[in-house]
Amino acid sequence: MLASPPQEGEPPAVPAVGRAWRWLWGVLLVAFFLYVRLRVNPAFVYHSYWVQPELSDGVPVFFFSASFLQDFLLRPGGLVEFATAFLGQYHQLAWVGAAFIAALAAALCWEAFVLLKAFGGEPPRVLHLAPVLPLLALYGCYFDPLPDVLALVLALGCACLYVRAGPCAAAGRLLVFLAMLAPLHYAAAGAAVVYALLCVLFELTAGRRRALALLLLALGAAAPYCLGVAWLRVSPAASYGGLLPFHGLDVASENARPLFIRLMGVEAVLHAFYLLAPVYVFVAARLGGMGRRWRLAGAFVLLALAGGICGVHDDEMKGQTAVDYYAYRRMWPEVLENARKVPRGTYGYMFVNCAVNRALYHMGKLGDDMFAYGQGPVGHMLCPDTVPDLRYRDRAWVMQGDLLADLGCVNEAVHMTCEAMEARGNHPRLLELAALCNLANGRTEAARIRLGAAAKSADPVHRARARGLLRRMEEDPLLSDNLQLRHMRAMRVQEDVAGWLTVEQALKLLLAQNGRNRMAFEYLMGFYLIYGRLDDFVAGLGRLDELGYERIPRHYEEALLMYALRTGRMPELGGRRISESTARRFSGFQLGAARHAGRPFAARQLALAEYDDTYMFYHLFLLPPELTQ
Amino acid sequence: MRRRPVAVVLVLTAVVAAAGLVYALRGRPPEVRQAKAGQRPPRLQPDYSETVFPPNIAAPSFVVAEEGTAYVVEVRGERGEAFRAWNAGSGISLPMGPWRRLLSANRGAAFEMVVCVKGLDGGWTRFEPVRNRIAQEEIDPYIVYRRINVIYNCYTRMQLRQRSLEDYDDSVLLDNRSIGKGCMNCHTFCNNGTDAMLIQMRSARVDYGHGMLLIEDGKVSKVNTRTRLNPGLAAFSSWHPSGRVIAFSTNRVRQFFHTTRPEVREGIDLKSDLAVYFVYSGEVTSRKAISRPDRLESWPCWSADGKYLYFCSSPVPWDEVEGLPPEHCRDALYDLMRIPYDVDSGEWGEPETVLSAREAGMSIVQPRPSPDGRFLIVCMAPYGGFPALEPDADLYMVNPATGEHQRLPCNSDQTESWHSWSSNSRWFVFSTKAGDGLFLRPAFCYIDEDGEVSKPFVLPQRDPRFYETNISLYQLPELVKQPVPVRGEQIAGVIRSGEWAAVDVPVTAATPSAEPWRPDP
Repeated sequence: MLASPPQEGEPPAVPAVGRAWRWLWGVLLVAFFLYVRLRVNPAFVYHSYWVQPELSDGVPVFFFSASFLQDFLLRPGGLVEFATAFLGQYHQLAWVGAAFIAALAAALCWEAFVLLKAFGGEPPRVLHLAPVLPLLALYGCYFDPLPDVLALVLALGCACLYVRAGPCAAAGRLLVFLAMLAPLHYAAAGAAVVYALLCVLFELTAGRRRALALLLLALGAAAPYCLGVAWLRVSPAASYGGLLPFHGLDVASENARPLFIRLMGVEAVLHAFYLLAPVYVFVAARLGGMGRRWRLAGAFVLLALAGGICGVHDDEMKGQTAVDYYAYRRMWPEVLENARKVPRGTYGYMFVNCAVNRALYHMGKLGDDMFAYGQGPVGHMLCPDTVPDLRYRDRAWVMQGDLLADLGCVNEAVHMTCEAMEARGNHPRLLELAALCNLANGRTEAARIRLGAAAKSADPVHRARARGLLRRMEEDPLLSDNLQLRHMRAMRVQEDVAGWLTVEQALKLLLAQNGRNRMAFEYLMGFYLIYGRLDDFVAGLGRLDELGYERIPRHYEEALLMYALRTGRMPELGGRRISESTARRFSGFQLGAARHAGRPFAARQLALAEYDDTYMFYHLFLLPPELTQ
Repeated sequence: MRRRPVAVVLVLTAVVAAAGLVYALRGRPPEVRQAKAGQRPPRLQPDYSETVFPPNIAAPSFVVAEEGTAYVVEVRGERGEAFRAWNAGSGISLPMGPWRRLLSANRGAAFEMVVCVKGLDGGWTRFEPVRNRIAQEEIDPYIVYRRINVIYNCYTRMQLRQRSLEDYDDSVLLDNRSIGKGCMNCHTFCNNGTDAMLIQMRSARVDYGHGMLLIEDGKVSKVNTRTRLNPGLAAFSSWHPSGRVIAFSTNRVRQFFHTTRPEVREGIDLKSDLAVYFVYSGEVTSRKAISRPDRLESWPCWSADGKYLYFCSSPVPWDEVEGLPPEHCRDALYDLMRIPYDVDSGEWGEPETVLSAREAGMSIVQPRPSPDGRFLIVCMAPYGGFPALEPDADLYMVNPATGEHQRLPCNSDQTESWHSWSSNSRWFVFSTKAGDGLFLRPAFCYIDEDGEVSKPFVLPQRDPRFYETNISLYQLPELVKQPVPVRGEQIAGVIRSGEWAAVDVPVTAATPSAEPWRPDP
């Protein structure tokens, strides 16, 4: 059947897109979904809020309460933030999160398709897929751009409706524009500016209504002032720039600004695409359209870019996030497995160090294997007297809460958890830990309130846990059968001491009050080894009997041999012996060290690399000199 | 195509019918048949029983802590119509319209709430009535408070808010995210009005400076009360009833932590002094009597007639501070003092002790005289100057003439502190941690002509289960007569822009030999 020729006043017929193209787009979308799920893992994207605290104002939370909603209603962009606070929770369910991100990408592509078609007069084949690339780059860096992207999707959706409003008079188009501008600004703040600019560009190019374009420009520029600054009384920056790239620059701490600016630059590319590409296709169409070769070349460029972006996937951040993710879930073997993927000496390694030590303790291997991983005085316990810089503290507080609760420093765990809540928000994870500490202290009602708050959250992981704990509290208010609580109660400090305790003081206090606190003992021994304090280490070994050690852990043996070598005497070991394998390796290390004595430091280190999992190696090559002074 | 309009009409009709059915079912309370008599009043959470309500308070919502499958509450006063509220769950919200009619018809009279609960066996129990009274006198209709989390050292989320007591409207006056996550630490009003108020502000992440925000007739100005001789930041403050002078303390506060005590935190003033700011001339001055180096002076508060400045003063119990807590910090026991002042001449008298810590056996802080001058309520704790962190802190009534004092019946076994009077002196609000020992909530008490204090009731909320899940603190509640005329960006914009007005220093405690400052005639 032949198509009838266009009548006067009707838009010219647009060539249809072939079925093969549609299949290709479908396949690419599925590939995108699988890549996001399997390579990126949305659960890690959500968890990265804990790992990169310097990039955000807090970990997204959502509570089913009127007061929570109220906080979003009085500012432009609040509705999108409210929606993303809810939707973002489901990133924790990796498949759901991946589906949601894929839907977001599909929406961006579809909107690009509609706009490019409206501006250029013919449907694009490849160009509309370009927005997927910056999206991939952002998620690949474990940065969640959801609020800004959702605002952009809304703005583009409005722009699509505008350009598809059909042929009507300027007054009609003006009404359509205004009808969407005000609600859009209220919902998506500065993204309304993108919408207004797209409408202006459309009228200047494909629409050919310059007077209307100027009017739309004036209205688009005035609306954020009238609606945001004058009516809702927010700052001009929040009204014009809210939910646009760089709007959260003040949130990023100073050290993270270069990274934040890079990420925002990628977001800006995404936004700029929607303003530049339509103009480009319009101009290209006027110049006679793009030939087949150009389309193919474009497709290859996009493919190359996609490949490049997959290549720049931030594996280190993924490793750090995975370590933290599994440590929180007490999946200790996974912690150790992922810790090996994070290079030592990097910015975040101290946190990996802390998680590794905790994993090793819980697997009964702290005294045997801790020096097989990178060790440092800061990472061992991340305590305030050792964390070197305030900028690390937000993340340290979160991890310390878990660690101190394990150790039995219940009050200090509450302290750190409350600090973390102040820095990262009232996340159900923190509420649950604080509630358990309250329960360990006998403050049942306070715990019930905190769990009640957690149970009101939309968090798919923690809400059910909080509800479960509350249900159990109805029958057993102290949750006496809860294993974690039983451990905390058994290990907790009994005597009240007021003040600021150092790591060593806190661990000694724990041991003084409860000689069976094995974790405190191993952490104290680890502390002495890391600081090279062999005298204190040897003095502390007397507790091996009390704590029921049948054999001496490997690193303790190595430290004892070093002590004996230095002092010429081996301490009393309560009938235990240094194992043969340790003695053999110690001798080998000694021989090697003697053999390479004259060589430069780095060369010696390399030559003895086979011993890099021993305490001797750490003591000789890695112990920071300032600690030994 | 013809079917589409029909389908739309059918769907709409079904929706309207369903809504009507829901409304009709909702509109009728379940019938209470053959109820057996409960031998006691029901347990309500929060406890709204045996108390006195102001005639302008929002309807209380509560949970009936009795097991059941349906709940009916009938509210009836001595005059006017009774009304009912009901729910399949145990949360009961009294409807605002009938509640207001009940209040207005029963001023000065009693009312009762009869609770009927349908048990799991299908039978109803009618509990003994919960009795309350409605006072004749209204309460100031707003509280201004600070909403924060349970904070230790770090604070990043803080809001100064205003809650209407006549309904549930709770709005933000200033969010610290708009001022670089700075701190709004105290807000003070002149004579319970909002024409003249001040907020103490500290910068945090972004340096907008520190100082006092004066808000007068809707105009916001920034005052830096620090001087070379008086370098501390203003903290606790009090407006003179004339509105011409503001007394404030400067406190060097430190915090430390306990390893097992239920309240982990403890605060301590390492150094504190008092000074006054003259609103019209922009000058700051002090007297040796209120800023002695060997004593810690804090918590200034003007008497109702403006002739005295009440304050609290403790000897400095340590020689030198080496680490925290300093030695003998538990010997920081504050006496209740007052010093005469003539606002017209600017003359100070000699300080006198109203009630010593030795006599009271406790540390006395936060004196707040009632606006009619008849009552003086203070907060007492075993030691120290920060009762909000002391589990044993309680409110006491003090007779300023004799020093006689008595513990108020509104206290619980947890912390009570920071009280504020209604302008008619018949009501006061205070912060309490009753129940959970952790989360501060505002509670209200009626005080009659004879000084009898009623049982407190906690601020009514729309959601009956609000306090079961609320983890924010209602800190520093202050009763005010009108809403605050400025808010949000109006205040934040001033903080972010412009210079802080510096103050003049005619005389300070560091130059005690100089004559006290005198205003221009």
